Amino acid sequence: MADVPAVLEARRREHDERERRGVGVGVRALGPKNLLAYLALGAVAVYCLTPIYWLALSATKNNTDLFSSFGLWFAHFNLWQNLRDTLTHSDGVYIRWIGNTALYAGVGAFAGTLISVMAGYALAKYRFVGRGLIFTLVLGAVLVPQTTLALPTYLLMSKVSLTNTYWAVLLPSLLNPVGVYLARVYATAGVPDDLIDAARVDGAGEFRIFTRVALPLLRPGMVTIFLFQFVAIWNNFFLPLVVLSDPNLFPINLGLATWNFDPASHELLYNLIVTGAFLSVLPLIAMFLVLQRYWRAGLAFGSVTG
Amino acid sequence: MRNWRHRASLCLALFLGVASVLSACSGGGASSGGVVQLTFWSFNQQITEQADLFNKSHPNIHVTALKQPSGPNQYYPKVLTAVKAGNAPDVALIEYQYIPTMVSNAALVDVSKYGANGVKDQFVDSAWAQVTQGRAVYGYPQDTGPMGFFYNSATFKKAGITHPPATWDEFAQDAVKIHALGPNYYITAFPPQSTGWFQGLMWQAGATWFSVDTAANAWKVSVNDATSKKVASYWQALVDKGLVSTVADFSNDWNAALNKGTIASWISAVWGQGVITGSAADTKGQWTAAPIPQWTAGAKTSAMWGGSAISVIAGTKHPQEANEFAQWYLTNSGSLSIGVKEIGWFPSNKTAQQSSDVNAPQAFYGNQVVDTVFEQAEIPTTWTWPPNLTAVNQFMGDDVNAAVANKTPIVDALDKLQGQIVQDMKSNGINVAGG
Amino acid sequence: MKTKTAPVAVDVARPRPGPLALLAGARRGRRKLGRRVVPYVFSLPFLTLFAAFFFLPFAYAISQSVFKQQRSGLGLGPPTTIFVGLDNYAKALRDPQFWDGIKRVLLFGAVQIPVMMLVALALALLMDSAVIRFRRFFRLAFFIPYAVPGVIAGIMWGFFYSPSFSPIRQLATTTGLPAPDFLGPGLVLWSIANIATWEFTGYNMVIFFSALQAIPQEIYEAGRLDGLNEVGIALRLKLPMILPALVLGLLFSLIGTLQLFNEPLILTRLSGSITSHYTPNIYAYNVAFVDTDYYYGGAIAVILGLVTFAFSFGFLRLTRRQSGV
Repeated sequence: MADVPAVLEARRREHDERERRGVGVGVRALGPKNLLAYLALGAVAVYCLTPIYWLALSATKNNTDLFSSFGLWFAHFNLWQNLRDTLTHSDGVYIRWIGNTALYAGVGAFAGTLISVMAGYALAKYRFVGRGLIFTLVLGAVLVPQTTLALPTYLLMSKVSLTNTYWAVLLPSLLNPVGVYLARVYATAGVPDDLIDAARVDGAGEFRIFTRVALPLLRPGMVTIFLFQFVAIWNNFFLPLVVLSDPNLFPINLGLATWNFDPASHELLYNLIVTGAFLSVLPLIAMFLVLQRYWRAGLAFGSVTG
Repeated sequence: MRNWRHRASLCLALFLGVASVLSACSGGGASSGGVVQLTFWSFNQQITEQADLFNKSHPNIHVTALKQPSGPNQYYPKVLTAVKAGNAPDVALIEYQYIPTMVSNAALVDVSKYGANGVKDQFVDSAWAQVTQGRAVYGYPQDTGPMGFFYNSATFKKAGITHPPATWDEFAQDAVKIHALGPNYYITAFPPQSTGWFQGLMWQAGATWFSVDTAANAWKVSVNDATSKKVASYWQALVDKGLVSTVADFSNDWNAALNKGTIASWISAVWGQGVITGSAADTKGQWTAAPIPQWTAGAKTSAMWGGSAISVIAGTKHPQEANEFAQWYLTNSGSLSIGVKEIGWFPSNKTAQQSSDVNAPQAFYGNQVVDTVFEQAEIPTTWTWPPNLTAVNQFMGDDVNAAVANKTPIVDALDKLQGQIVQDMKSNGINVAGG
Repeated sequence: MKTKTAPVAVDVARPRPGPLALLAGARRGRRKLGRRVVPYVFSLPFLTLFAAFFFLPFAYAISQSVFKQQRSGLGLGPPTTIFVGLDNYAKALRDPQFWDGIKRVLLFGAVQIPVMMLVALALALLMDSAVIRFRRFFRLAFFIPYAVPGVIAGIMWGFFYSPSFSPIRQLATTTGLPAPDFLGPGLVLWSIANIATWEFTGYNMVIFFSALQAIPQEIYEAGRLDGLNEVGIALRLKLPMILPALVLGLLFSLIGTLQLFNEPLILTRLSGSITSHYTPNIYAYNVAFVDTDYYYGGAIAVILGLVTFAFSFGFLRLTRRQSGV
């Protein structure tokens, strides 16, 4: 069973190789025929990257230049000062926000992924009473807007004194119906029944089968679920807005929004907002880069008709 | 239904039992070791310094000050929701205009039973009137917001204007001169979403949007009376001719324009001086404060925009201690000094008002003693705030915004607003006279 | 052909029956029971969370929505709560502000979703069949906006749209063209649509592309033998193969559109054209949270939830046959 990761590794290498070679109905080199395609993709890439470029550039400007210099080129280079100001403003609260966001998104996505995969695996691999019901619940939860629930969640949470604590953001973030849905798809497709049966015959317990057989096979899928949940928590604005009142518990986006909206603070924080926004995007990009070979494989899983 | 709800929350309590035990360790508990724990909410960062000062001299009470975002539609909803949820702060800053709304949601503690009237004499009468309702006292007055006129004298001079407009007629003439400097130059902005600001202008003109008909025990709403329509038409003319900008106040563009000197003035309250210092940092030394332009030459009529009280919030487990802190906050010289010097209060406390902090010349305003300009303002006392201000402001923001965006008459927006407010009050069971 | 690689894993990892298997018979009874309990144990954490953070709040919202706060006299005394049955629902269905928001998001979706999906699909097909170099670069470039939180994207594009910062307007003025008013009443909805398109086109494209990459090559060979050209292969072979991905993408876009919230909320400060009832979700938020009418706000939220559910469920039913989702 120790071979399973190796098999996955081989599969991934094959996938990468195929992609690099560009096997498809491919034309193998640059030519006039696909020049248009490159132009189209290039144009969209410019569209996608220009705001990021603007953000990076603006992080190097002071407030006056932000207002007055041309937005798509450098002015007086003020990046180091901006970084210092961003990280030290209000007793360095921005650093806390980074830590909080990492905690909410990191712990939330990690635990949430495990919970989703356990449920998805159960739905895919066991026949049991209530299975259909659970699956319907999952679908229902996917389809009902989450913002609908933030306010009642808040009111209920305050009855058990959970508001304005880390738990207030962390616990609801663990619920990820889409993750269960995906995990079920991945488990159905990626964990063969005869493999499980064989393990049973071998005397392995159900938990052991889950941890030693299913989890390694589900790894690319789990990375995908993890990433999507990570981004979703990182993105979540409404829930922290409602349940938190202590700025020391805020995630980055809520913190930056309060800097953006605060007429009573008597100072212009645009350079800090821009620098803070730029900094907050970097870890996500880094993570996508590091984990990309995993989630690509995960995305392909189950999205093809059989 | 009650029963059901109870059971629902019990279920949640069970589900989250472990978590809440854990959270009790990390969050601020009610009291530990005989020290009473209090929470205090306000808009300003500096409140932590004031709380530290209090905590040093009060070993039995510990106040945790939490700065809250002051953005539109964020702070009061948050306080009200927290009250409903039963986890509100013990003490909070409440602007005067929201006191009736808070009271109508049973969100404030009447501090007269904790000896509030004992310190009444330390506060300016007009400010004390803002926190009382009949015999009840709903907090202590922190600062007031008399309105005045801040202008960029450099831009005014460039346009050939030597003195600030004394009347609204002069203001309209100056508007033409300033716009002549260039298509991006405006005498000021008419921010259509800024409800408190526009209400202040109505108040200054002598309108009384809300008043109580005591005989009928009902509200009289006159949002679209002749005076209000006069004010609306005045600004309509300036907007139509393109003489005023219509960017939102406090927005990116507004700040940028103040900083460049292309929006040349701001009709604002006394607390606005600190905002300009931040927004228009590059124009240091160019700004001057003057009385607000008048409808009748020679008058000194102004109005209030903002101004806040420090109130004890309903649901607190320690009203006595909360009251002690609120009272200390606005009577202790150390706390007042931080408030005046660092936060920029125009204090309601008489002693603080006489202090050198308030009457100091300011380099940003060309060494003008800004506060004295506001001390002479006469403010009509007939204006009353309604118990449904959040709804009023939401309607008003939508209606005036829509009028400016779609170029429809602002006076029509006032007619619409009148109907919406009366309808909202009635549907809530509030008596409305003659409606 | 769910996943063409799974059988490989089976072949390699299939264990030989060992001595343990012989012992297993004795424990079969206990294990059978275990196997019956295990799925519940696996589902328990999810079900607990589901109950606490979905079912209870939803039920609570419904239970609130049949009440109303009643004041009396001058409205300065504490309010009482009265039972009003379905009045709040009737009120919402007659509320022009609610319908204004619904109409707006439907218009938004009718334009933005097809544009985004077609662009994403076209890009994915182009990249799959005509672009070999720089694939990694393109994929990352397209995907980066998805990694930018909606609120940050709103703040960022807010700078891009606002007259005094906008580099687009700066370019327009220097070239003498009329500068567009991105935040004016005519354009602001499409300015928001642009933010949504920017955020999610790449995300959808990457999903479609991954699905395309998973299609086995033999199918193309067969297609070519049948005399199909590249366009034919793309439309007749590739498209049907990635239908499930398309359906899922459409579904999430539909839900996202009906729930539109963050981007217009952030732009509210910049544009007077975004009213307090601009989208149904913003309206529900404003009624419940700003105007503190939790009861009516609850009713609006429940209706919005049901509308979303109806739309997405209907869509799923409609596409079930083709998509296999």
